[in-house]
Amino acid sequence: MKKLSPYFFLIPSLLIFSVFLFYPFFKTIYLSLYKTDQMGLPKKFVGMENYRKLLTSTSFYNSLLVTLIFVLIVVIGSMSLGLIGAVLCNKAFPGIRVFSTAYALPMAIASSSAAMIFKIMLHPSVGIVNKLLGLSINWISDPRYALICVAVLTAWLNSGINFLYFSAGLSNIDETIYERASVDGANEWQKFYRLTLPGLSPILFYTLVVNIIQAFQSFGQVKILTQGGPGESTNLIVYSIYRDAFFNFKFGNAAAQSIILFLIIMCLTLVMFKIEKKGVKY
Amino acid sequence: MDHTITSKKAIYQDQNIDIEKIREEMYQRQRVRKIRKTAVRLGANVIMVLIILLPLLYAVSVALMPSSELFTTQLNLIPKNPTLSNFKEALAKVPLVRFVLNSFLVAGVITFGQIISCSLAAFSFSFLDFKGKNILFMLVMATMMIPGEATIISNYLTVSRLGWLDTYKVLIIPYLTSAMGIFLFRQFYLTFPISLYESAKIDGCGNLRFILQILIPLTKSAIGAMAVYTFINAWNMYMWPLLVTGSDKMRTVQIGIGMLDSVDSQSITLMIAGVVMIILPSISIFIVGQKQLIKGMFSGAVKG
Amino acid sequence: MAEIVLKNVNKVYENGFHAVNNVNLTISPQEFIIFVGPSGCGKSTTLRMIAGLEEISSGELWMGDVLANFLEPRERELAMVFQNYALYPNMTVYKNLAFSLEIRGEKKEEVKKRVKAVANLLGLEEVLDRRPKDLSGGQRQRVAIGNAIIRNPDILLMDEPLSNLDAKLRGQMRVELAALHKKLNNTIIYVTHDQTEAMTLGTRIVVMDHGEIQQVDTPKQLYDNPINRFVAGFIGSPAMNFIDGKIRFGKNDVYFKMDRYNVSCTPMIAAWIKEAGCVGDVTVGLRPEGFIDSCRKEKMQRTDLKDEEKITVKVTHRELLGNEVLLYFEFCDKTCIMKTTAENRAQAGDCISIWLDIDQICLFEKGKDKNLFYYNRCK
Repeated sequence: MKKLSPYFFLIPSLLIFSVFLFYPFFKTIYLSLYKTDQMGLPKKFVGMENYRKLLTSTSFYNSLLVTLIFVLIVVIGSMSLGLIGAVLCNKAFPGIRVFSTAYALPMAIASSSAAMIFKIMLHPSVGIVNKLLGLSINWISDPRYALICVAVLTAWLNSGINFLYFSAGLSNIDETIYERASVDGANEWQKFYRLTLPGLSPILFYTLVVNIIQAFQSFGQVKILTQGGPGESTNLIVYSIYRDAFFNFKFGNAAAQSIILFLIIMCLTLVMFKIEKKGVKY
Repeated sequence: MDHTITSKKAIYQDQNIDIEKIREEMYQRQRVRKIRKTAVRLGANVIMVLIILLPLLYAVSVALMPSSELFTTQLNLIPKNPTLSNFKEALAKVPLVRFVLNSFLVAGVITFGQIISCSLAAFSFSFLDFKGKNILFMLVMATMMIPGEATIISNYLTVSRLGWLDTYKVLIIPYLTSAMGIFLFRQFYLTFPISLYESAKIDGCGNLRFILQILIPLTKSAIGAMAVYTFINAWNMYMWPLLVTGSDKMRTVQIGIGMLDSVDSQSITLMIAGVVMIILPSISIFIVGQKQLIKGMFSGAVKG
Repeated sequence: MAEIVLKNVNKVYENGFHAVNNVNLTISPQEFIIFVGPSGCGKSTTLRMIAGLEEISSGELWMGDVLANFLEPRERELAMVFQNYALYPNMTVYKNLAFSLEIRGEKKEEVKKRVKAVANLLGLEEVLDRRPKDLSGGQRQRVAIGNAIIRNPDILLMDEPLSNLDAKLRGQMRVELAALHKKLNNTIIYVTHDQTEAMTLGTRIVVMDHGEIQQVDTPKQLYDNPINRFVAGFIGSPAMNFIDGKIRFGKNDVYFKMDRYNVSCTPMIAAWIKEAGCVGDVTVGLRPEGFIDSCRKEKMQRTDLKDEEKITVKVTHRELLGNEVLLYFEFCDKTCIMKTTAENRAQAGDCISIWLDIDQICLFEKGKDKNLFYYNRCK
């Protein structure tokens, strides 16, 4: 009994992980090797056929490309927003509490709610964006802009937690090196460029990994704002999985896409940690 | 450098008349400089805050507008005749209250459940010794690498076969633990010396009692952070509830609010009013719990 | 090179704490001046005000002919060594040393030459490619000093630079710092809480307490002639003994009544006491070497110490320092410490005879701080 008690404390967590993570994960791999029926039951073993089809389909490559561009815009956007906020709130000034709360606030907002707000903001006739810019662009229905709109929205959503990460990173930098730098004769820009950025690099790196993973998984905003369209211009992988599984009922195909998504994310994470071990050292 | 400020000491000593003036001027300049510095920082912050908060402020403003006011070609940032009728109509049109209650129930139970299951697991991982501990811990950490999308299809198929669709349990049970939570708590527990546990043992304190009476009170800030984070995430859940709920009775707010969408364009203001109403709980919890969240999440847990 | 003048300088923090109170001081060029005092006495704040890292609440700071109150740190042309060294963790030693030159846009060749020279001077050639976290404490310390001297600043500020080193290294670095000052000939303003460091390094020492300057003097003067009880107690290790007693006036002499002993004054001290108009309860301050035992009496041939002036005390503790020894004993309800040669073999429990070297004493009115003999000894 005494020997078993450590496992006893793990039971709730391990049970849930097994049933809702490990089992379905392997089942997804299994499904990806089969042709499935409308109910998602595996009907015929096809081996790598689902993957082969995917890798020869232009639609899937489009999804990959769109996702890549999307992730790039989101990561750059959300990290810059978070960093600017954190740097602006780095020194005490009147009202800092209010400002820092505001910068972190987007993390409390659901992707679906935000998407609805953006839908109105980007509305071609009544939207605030066109009114402020004096334009009459149909943002969401124009394949040139739709992806950027979804990406900006996602960058905004993700910027809140980045602000918190960067603020924590900034407060970890030893204050006296700034004092030494001012005695040494550095101006504000030199301090930022030569001390703050390198000093943030560990957390910058961590944030980058988290952001990429998070961006890959964006769903709600696509579902509400563009439904993958116009055309397939915003058909991100996750949305493509959703559509193939629950609209086209091609569960096997969707499962294969899920596995590819998993592999991409895993590779990215591993590569980045490898780079980190080499690059960021102190 | 300004030469009126850097007057020679000789002058300072010889012509006593000028000292006061110079000094006054010097302080005046310094005051201006200081004010200017603060103003620049404040100004930059105000601009940034406006950019970040624009969507939210705009949403509040639209929610307060009569829908006739929205449809003009003029810039209409602030409602001229603010009204609460949008909120009333939105509540009448869809069972928002029910959705909010559903969400509160689901998010509340998930939060509570995660705190319990994660602290139990983290306790085991940090204070106890057992066979396969490292492997199990690695396994738990590895789950963070699996994106939800890689499992959601199979999960959906599983729960539909179990006949769980459109119930509370299907919304709650899969989320009753989290690798991040276990990691966060373990990180916290590791800062306590093992002697804390050992001395409690010697005093005759059982494991459960140790968790309840010693660990939990000591890790209030981690629990607070975890609670805020989990609740907000559960409240904002979208894909899973979208798949597994169908009836109005079970819908959570994020899905339910979609019912206000895609109706005729006249009801844009209704929809936004609904959005504002469902954002309010998560924002309030965030603002109240922000300090806890930061304290708990960043005191040792995240360090590069 | 320029002199630095502080005129009525004050620092009051926003929470109302008065950290530095009305400091007046002139620091001449090429001086090695030391600020010493217990923690929280305002010495570091004063240094940081000179550096420009802390705003001066009121008063004036002159650097040469320039009123420097509101100059940015980088406009003051000085360098500083910080207590925690403040090395840039992301840069190699080379980059750390080169930093202040690079941001001034010095040519690469020149930077290289200067870094080489400094590394050579401080023995850092081997570690130029390492990062601060891979250095030992002593090496970090040297890098910090290198950072500061590479620009050849007229003024070098040091904020407790040795406090993070172990005792042996500290001693070694003290010698090196003194040599460095001789070589570079710049003004060094040095802050420490360690009075030994202050005594061995400084040409002039500023003793501070509670935000105020207590005394500015040479090490010897501070030791021999402290201005008040704080300085007397702070400078010197082991600290000065404070013995309560009474002044008594005999027919033609003056003596102290301590315990059951009457210790008579020398004519000089008697004259000073009369001059000060001091009567009644007093506290006598005496350095540990101001107690003289028979060993030292013989050695110094102090025939003036008469047998009837001798005091008998019981040793409670013995501490050997090598060729010297510290003896603890109870006297006038206080534990006193005397320093003598190791030839004195007295152990705890032994009774020994000692004399008080009255010419050395400081005198304080009971409950007051001022050393009554300060001005007499100044003459």
